[in-house]
Amino acid sequence: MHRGLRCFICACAVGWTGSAPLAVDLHRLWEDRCANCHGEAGDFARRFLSVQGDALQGAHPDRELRRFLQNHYLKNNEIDGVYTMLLAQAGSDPRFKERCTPCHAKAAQLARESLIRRDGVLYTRGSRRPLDDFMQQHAALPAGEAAFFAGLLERVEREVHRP
Amino acid sequence: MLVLSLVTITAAGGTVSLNTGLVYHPDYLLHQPGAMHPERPARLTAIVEHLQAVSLWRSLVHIEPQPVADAWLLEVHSADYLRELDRAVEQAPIYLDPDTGISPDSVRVARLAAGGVLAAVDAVMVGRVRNAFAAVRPPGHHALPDRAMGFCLFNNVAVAARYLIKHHGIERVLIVDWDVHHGNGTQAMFYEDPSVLYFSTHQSPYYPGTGSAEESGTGAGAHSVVNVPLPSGTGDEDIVAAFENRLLPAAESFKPQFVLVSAGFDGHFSDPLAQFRLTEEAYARLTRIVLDIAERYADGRLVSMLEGGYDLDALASSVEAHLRALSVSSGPVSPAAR
Repeated sequence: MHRGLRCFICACAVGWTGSAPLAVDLHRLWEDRCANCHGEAGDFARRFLSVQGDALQGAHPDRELRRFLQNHYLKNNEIDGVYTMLLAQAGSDPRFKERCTPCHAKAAQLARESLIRRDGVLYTRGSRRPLDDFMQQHAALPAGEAAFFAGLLERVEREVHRP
Repeated sequence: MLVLSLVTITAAGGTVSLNTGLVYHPDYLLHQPGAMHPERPARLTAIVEHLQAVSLWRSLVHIEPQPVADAWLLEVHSADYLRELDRAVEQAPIYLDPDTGISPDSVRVARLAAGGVLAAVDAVMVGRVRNAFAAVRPPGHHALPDRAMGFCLFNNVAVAARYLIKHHGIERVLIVDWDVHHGNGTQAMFYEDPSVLYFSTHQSPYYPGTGSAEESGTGAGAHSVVNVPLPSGTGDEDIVAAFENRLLPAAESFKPQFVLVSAGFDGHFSDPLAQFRLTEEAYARLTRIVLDIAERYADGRLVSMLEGGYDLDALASSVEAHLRALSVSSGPVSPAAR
């Protein structure tokens, strides 16, 4: 058998265990693997993590969170995604939870069910309009708020459909 | 309350003493750290039901816990922390720490857990039982002097060590911690204290990030900490070797007058939170080692208490192995001999 083909078959058989980025719904990963101990990711990040410079700091003895995560129940190829998600959440206020939850539950759920990306542009499934446009006329949001929520949903959609 | 103490002769001719105590209270189930939290009430339910199923429950001397007096908590925790907990519980459910949630009953239950360990200590000290296991929750070994951490509110084993020293006049206490996570809280509380020898085996690198071999105590407490970090995949022979090679010489030098065990069973191969590969037999062997130390130096006086262990079946069967090993000793100790 060709050596390359044999290697490919072996890799498929045993599963890829390298640290290549993982195609995974980060919010589901959190709900499945982290939420039992830590509650909701956004609440957790804002309450217990801090952003210093461009790095995320925890409260444990190994304060640099990326290093801490390497020894904390995550596979190597999951660490970057979870770290980046928590970094974004720690640096943002809980506006979606405060303003949107009554109609839309969680942002991740909204992104999974109501948004779709075509050629790099995010559309709403219902209106089939680009999200940026849609938000300008949604719930009488001021322009700044509309842009904030569009940006937030862009990020969450990428976290849900990673990479 | 059922009290049964048996002494029988085995087929091999050895004496088997069954006067091992057990601390348990149904209120321990009332601490709810979160709906799906791994440190859940079902852990204790699984232990109790299993001990009943294997007919061990009735062979144990049941010890009734009482809430710990704040004076003993203040031996290792700050007054500010106790006040903070009492305030926090009014806002429950709430997270005190990234992974430590509490419910309205949690602080009361934590006081009953620490009190349960002290009740076990008293029962051993007066000779009512030879040794005892406290099936308590929340666990304790991550709790720091001024904050909750890692599912732990009060550091039960540290409170017990101080209680032994201050109340019972014990001069040297050995704490053995075989939970898969390092007991950073316990270590911090006795890092400068020569009256307590803290020995820990734990997975490393891993949560909570402390427990390197270089951390060995300081000042008067220099060499009072013995950390044996072990890699993922550690099995029965590895951990037994660590106990034989590192704990036995340390204990021989220290000559403890009482042995406390932070008995976490999350090193079991089935446990979802760690990557050791221990079997129930490992816990039986570790128990025999600490029991041998207790019998050699401390007149058999030993109290163990539950820390981690999150696979219900593995936890229950490991506790059974631990209790069966505790219950088998060279013979009963008469109170007068103490």
